[in-house]
Amino acid sequence: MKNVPYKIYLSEEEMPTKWYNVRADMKIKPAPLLNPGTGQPLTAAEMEPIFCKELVAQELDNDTKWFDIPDEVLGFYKMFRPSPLVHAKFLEQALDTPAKIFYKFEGNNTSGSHKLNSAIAQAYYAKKQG
Amino acid sequence: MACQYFGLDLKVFMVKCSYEQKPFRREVIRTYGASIIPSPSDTTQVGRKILAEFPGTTGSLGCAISEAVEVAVTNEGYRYELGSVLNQVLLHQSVIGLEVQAALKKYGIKPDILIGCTGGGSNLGGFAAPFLGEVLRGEANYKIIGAEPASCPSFTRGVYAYDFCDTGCICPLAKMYTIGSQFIPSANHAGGLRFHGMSPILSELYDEGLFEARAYEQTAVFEAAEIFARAEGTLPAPESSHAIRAAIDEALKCKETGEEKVIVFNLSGTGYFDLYAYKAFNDGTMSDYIPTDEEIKAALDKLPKV
Repeated sequence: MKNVPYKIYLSEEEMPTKWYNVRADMKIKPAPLLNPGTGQPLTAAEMEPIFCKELVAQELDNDTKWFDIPDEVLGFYKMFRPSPLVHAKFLEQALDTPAKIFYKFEGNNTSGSHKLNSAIAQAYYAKKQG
Repeated sequence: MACQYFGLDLKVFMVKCSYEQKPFRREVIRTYGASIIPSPSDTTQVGRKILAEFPGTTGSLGCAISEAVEVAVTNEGYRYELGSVLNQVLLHQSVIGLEVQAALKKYGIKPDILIGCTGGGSNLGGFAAPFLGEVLRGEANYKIIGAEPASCPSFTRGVYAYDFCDTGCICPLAKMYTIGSQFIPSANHAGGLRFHGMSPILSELYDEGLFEARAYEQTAVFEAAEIFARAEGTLPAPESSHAIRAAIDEALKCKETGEEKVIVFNLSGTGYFDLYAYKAFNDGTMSDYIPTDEEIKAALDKLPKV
């Protein structure tokens, strides 16, 4: 822990280029969404009036472990990503604790929160579908 | 912001009490060109139905979802965008956890405890995803904690069952930890995280015991926010401050035991849109509201039969 800086920044080259789908590693998959009318699992066709096609495919995919982040989304991410991982040493001092505390700071964009990470992806797929 | 970037029109249904509590978030949304409607509203069929059933309601995320989905399915060229809960959102938010993993690896740091707040699950589910993956594959063991508000305690007091994702009961059913789609969080609850249910992915993992959940009252959360702001400089969002509370509690346990544990939490946002809540805390007028067992039971009694 000696040479750890106060803020760890990844370079743009070190940014993830794929999203990770934790469902691929789950032995028991999350239960499917059900159609409230029929009680049957929701099909892609039933979801497509609500979400665009590629998002429906992502929603239903329990097996693909990695999804490429589209270049257009990566480009937008670079406006505010990578975000720093901060070693909260001032908080450690204030608490007088031997614990090492780190926080990932996702508030460094105008929306003020992590929500933009998914909003831009959803907007991208919607635009792509037309 | 995202829609404007790709030249899309955006109509936002904002929970009525948030619309009133967070006027500056409203203005940011409008600055990027979106139109914004406090929900429930009389602009949709389901909004009018909810208003008739709960006159004067301050709204809930479940109401806003009903209205947005109705507009998406009944208007050509519209689709629904969402902030949390569903699998696609957790997938996109995994970018947070992947960056954390890469940064820790760069300096050879091994975390012991990982903490995120939970409303619908996008925060914890994105931040912790790669670490949950390591646990699922048997490669590592972490203590992972979801921090939720005591006023909307889906994990700690809910049940794992199929429920509607929205108050108007027009959305699909999801199997998740829920305190009932008809549950409306108290309006004095300031800090987001007001969804009645939870991500189906996190619900399944919680049910399997892969992580634990804790519920915090909002005054304790704002006390943690104040400690953090004064020490680290950044004014945290009330949502993120649930994670700060849990991190501080874990760090104080280490102080007692003398353990040098590595605690990593997600500071998911800043608190500049929540200054009315900070004002209430600073004025000493903030109160805690914990729903009674009867209130939660009443909402759970209305779970759909599947």
